[in-house]
Amino acid sequence: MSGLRVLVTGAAGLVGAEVTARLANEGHTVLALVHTRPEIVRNDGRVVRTVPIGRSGPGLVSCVAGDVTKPMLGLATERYEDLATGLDRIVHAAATTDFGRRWETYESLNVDGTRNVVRLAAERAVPLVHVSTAYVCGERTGRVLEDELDVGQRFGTGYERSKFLAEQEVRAAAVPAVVVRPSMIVGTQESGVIRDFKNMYVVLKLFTQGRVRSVPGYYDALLDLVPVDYVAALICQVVNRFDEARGRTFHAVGAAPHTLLDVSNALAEYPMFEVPHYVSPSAFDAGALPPDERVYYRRIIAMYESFFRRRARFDDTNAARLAPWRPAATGVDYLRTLLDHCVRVGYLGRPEPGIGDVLRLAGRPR
Amino acid sequence: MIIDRAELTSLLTETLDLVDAPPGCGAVLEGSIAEGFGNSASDVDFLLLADDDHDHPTMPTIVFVRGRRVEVRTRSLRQVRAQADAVCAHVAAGFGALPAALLDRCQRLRGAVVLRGEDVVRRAREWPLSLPEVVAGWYAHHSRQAMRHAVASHVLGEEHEALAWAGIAARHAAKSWVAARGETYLEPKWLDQQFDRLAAGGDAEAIRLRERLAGLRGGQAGDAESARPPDEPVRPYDGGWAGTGLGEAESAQPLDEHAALVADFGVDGCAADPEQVLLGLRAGVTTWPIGDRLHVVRDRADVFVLDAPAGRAWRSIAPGRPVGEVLRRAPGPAASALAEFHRIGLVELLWRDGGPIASAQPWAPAEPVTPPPSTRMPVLGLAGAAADGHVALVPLPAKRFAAAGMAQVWSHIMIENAREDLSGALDGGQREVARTSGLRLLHHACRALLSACGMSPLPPDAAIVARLGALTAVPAELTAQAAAVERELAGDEWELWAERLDKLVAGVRDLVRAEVFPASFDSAAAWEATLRIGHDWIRLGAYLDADFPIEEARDLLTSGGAQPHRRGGG
Repeated sequence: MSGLRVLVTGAAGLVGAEVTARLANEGHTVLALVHTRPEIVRNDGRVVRTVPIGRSGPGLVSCVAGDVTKPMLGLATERYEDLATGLDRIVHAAATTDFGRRWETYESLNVDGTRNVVRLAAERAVPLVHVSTAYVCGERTGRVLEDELDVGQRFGTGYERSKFLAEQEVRAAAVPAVVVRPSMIVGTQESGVIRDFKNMYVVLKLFTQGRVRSVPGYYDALLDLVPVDYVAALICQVVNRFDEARGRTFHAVGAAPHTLLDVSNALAEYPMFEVPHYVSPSAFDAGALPPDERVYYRRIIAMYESFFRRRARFDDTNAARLAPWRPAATGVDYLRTLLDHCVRVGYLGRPEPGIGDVLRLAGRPR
Repeated sequence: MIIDRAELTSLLTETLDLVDAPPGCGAVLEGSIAEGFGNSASDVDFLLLADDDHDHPTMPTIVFVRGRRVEVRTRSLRQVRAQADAVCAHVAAGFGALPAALLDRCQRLRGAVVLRGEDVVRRAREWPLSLPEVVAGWYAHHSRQAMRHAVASHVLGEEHEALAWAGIAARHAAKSWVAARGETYLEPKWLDQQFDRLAAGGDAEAIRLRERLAGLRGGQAGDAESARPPDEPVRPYDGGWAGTGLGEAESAQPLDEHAALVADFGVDGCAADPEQVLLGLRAGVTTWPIGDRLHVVRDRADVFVLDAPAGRAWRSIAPGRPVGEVLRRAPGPAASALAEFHRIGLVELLWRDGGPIASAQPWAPAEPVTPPPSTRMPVLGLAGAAADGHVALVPLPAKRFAAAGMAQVWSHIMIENAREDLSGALDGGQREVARTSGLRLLHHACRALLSACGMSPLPPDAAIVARLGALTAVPAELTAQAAAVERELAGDEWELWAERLDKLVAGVRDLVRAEVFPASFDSAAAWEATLRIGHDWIRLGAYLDADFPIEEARDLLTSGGAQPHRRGGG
């Protein structure tokens, strides 16, 4: 299918940019809503060429500065009309994925922002593809199905809770919608290339530098890592085959989850890396850590610590039926691909001067 | 040929009377005599070519005819075609994996003298490739690798090795050069005769190059080493040819000359440029600190323990960076440690845009060197294996090393636990409780001792004291002491038990160098230190899927020492 007019929110983000570029390459007209970043940069660093919205057309990307937290996406009426008229699809990828933000930030960006986009979709009866997260399952253990949402789960982070509420907004609305839930998005399957070193990459940096030497967790805890190129490919497929996907939820997850033992074993392959200990959460005492380590732990690791004890396995039956290809890289081999890229570009294996630099990488204010 | 054709025909006829030859087979003389070399000691090598599909054995039949040793091999046309196909496939994929023996068999057939069955031989020799090109390319590959190895050895301050590799590179380059001119016989020892033949044919370049090769050969062995005063250590490369420890002129010149000759022989991609040598990680090699000591596991099978300077060198490894740059940043003896890491296959050295620098040469095994295992006893203590020089091979398989280490940590924890119980029982006047605690302490002291000696799994408690006597590594005095304590624990003089057991534990810890083992239950800090070492062992054990001493040990060590029935997690 080609020739759709698609609005992508969060088009400057990691997933949004890749989806924007791919949809344009497939011949769609893409209207890319960005917030503060005026440039759309693909995962491999290439800048996407854009044209003014007045010259938009098949195979082209037009960049529009807006704000999903505001009514009419923060646009003037005329510009809003330009944007909303004739839309065939909306891909809602705008969100903050940083951990450790204040709840108000999550609520505004992830919940209210989704509500505003849903309103646009409902007003104009435009099919909506909502980009969520597999971790709306919170701290559930065991098999998590794609059609499950609210099972009374507990959330490990404000981010997860906000995405859970956002999905509820989508489900409650009278619009044809599809939800795509990526797990932890990491580098591409073949080369490990990733545009932004955020979230778990920051944790890896602290581990490998030996700034954090022990964390509360289990060797058999499970992390689901999904290649960014697969996530983008699945979202584009949903856009193209919306009628088949309509009303469904898709787990965009890796070929198989990684255990923390896999992570430990992969890190041990690099002579210059330190490898953390996993200590039972019931006995872990952050107060007993050495002072330097305690600072890193409290300011950064604490945001992620629930991931070191989770044991969720995501069922992806729906995604398997629709996806154009499936991730195949698993275990230490895939972790090695990701780590090799980090070393190649100098992200890992090179010490950062101090906590300030790490916080900057984590996207947290000091 | 040193044997004329009539003589050869007679030799063949007499040989065929002694062996089973396939009917209608072709026959050739191959090897050094057929190539026009050989001497009175050379074997006569006959190859029989059977026009069938059979798998004839590779091993030759050896007979003695007219005082000569004669080797007879038989191959079917299917076999020789399969060999030729295999060579073609290797050539298409580059020369790196083409075995010397395979190429040698193909070359010998094509350089052979036909004695019988010309049609069968002609069909056996059908081949789409040019033999001179294949042999020249194959030797060029090995020359290139050897020259790169020479440059890498120089960067690492291994000058003697550098010159040895450079010499190999030059000779392989010469073999490549003569092969390109039709002298394809692989055997290296006939190189001079091959030059002779080219020179006799009027090739002036052959004379000039052979003289340069001979010049290098004459000068290489002593020059670099003799230029270095005996008391001056070899220093690694530090940013150019200057400063290699030998003085600029002495160090760089022989290698430069070798590299120049190699290039003149037509082998490219191996200039004497140290910046081309990069560090790379080797698959299947992992790093495991235990306490402050680094252990490197190779292929989940071998454990190497590094002393402190080697450990610092190991931590300085930056994959993908020039070795010279890494050495400039690394502390003093890093070069010799890196050289050893490469020799034993813990790291790779890469040529920029040229892949790994191979350590092996055509007729040598490709596996990395494995040093003899350490003879230090006990094999391990709480802080890992006994460091024995820069890099020492632990004399235990990796999985057993991890299991023994975990048993060691667990035994020391249980010694402390039993000692506490013993004290409580003695204070309370509970003799039988004290006896049981004392026995438990004795058994764990023996377990600590045996696991430190590398025993894993450990014998049952009932036999453990007796087993001490069977180990030469355990001093007789300790064995006797343990036996005496066991006898005393069976008696009634219970006021002596604590003192005797403490003395035994002190002896055990002295032997296994665990005398600084924190008394686990005395303070939170000491307990933490104990558990940290335990976690180091568990991390290694989990990687190797080694046996935990008992499930309770796994719980204790992975729970951070939480005592589930005690309030406040303490």
